[in-house]
Amino acid sequence: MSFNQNILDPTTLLAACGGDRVLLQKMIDSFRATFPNHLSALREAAQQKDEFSFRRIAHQLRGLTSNYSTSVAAQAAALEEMEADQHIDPIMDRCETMIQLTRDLGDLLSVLTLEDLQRASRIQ
Amino acid sequence: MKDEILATVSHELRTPLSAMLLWSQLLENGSIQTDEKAQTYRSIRESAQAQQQLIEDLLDISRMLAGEMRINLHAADLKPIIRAATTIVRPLAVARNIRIDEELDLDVSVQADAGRIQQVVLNLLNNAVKFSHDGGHVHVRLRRANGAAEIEVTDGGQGISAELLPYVFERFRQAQGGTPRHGGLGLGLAIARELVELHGGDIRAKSPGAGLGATFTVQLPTEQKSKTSSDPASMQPSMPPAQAQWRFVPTDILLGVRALVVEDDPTTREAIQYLLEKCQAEVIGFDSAADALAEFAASLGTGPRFDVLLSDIALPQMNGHDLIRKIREIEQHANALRPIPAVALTAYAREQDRVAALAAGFNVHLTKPVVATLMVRTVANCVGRPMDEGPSGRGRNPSA
Repeated sequence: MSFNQNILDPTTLLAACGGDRVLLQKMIDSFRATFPNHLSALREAAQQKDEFSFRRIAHQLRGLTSNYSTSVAAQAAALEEMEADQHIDPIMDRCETMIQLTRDLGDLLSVLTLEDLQRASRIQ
Repeated sequence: MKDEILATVSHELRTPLSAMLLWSQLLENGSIQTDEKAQTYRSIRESAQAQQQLIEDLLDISRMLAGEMRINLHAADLKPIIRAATTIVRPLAVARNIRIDEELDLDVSVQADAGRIQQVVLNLLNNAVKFSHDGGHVHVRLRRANGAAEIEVTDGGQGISAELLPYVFERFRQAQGGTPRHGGLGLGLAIARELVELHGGDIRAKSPGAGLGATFTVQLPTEQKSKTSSDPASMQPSMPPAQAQWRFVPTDILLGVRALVVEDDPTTREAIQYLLEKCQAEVIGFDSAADALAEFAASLGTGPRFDVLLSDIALPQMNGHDLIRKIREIEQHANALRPIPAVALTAYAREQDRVAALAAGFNVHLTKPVVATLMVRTVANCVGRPMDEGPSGRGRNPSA
């Protein structure tokens, strides 16, 4: 399996699971079960201009994705720190980018094995 | 792929069993001449040993998959370990006129599970002999390289193609299509890698290509000779190899420790719980600060007390700062002799976030993403069971 290493950060994920196969699978399963709700909530908060909820969900996504992807976590951090008075359009654009990246990450994790991860971390 | 693997497992288990049944029937019905009986008994014993090895490999793989492979580290000299493995393999080599050369000039001591390292070397030597041509030779070398002990096994045999090379350490690789079968389940190298990495080491394979031989190299962290044996740090293997920094090895370091974990993200909470429980801690997890606070307050009354708190900061309703402030207040009112050591585990990673967490009452500030080994080491340090001198979360002494 080859990685889009712009999305998945194999070294970070290996460190997070300690190279433990069972924990890796638990983390992947839990991530895949959790992220769709976060993404729906993020989009809803953006559409309703609910700044408090938007920041809170963006922060949750930052924490959630940081174990898997430095770049996706950075996107979430950028959303969390967007200026409150910024126009809604760029926020929605960035929000959609974040949603797509997180979905891509979820797809990638669905077929990931510890062996893939170890191999990729050696290549890095 | 599962069908292929199952077929291979069945075949490999049945082959020695069939041989044992056949030979024992022949002995029973008197078909074996007296002068052939010694050879027949030897064949039965060898078949039983082959099957025993297959079953042990399957059990090891099962432990690996469950994350329950354990090693017992002690100071160990590598030279006698390698010699013992060579002695076991040599009869197989002699039978096919294969020469095994040893180059073991150094006395290299490592922190290792001697039996498991012998298993690794034995596996590499067995493979080297198995894949060598009759009349070929195998070279085994022990040396120091890059601050580590290095064991190298080289053969001039069938080699490994560039396409297969990245996958040689994967389990059941031999059972999958496209690879010539050579007997066995294809588990040995996967087990070898697991064992080496549990030692904080590294194992690599290289080959110029099919038909051109192969070299397998194991690197193990060496002991720090400069430190005295009474210095706890002398038990710490030298770093790197890289895996030593992130490789989580379950231990009983937190046996009897009660940990209160507060994290609203289930993925992170479950990961923390899993890691601490693998180190024998008892973990009570909550997704809300209010529930955790109630549990903590109750523990100061009649319940068993908590030894350590790990809490996220960005929690709904009551955040981590408010939680630790209230905990410190409760402790004060209850005249608690020793405040609970508290670790903030948060994606708020700036210096001002660390200062704010410590000011609120946390003792240690750890940032996400979680690093499994760092988190366990930090908790162990907090409860007065330091694992080593490696890095842990930044903060202040919990007992201060």
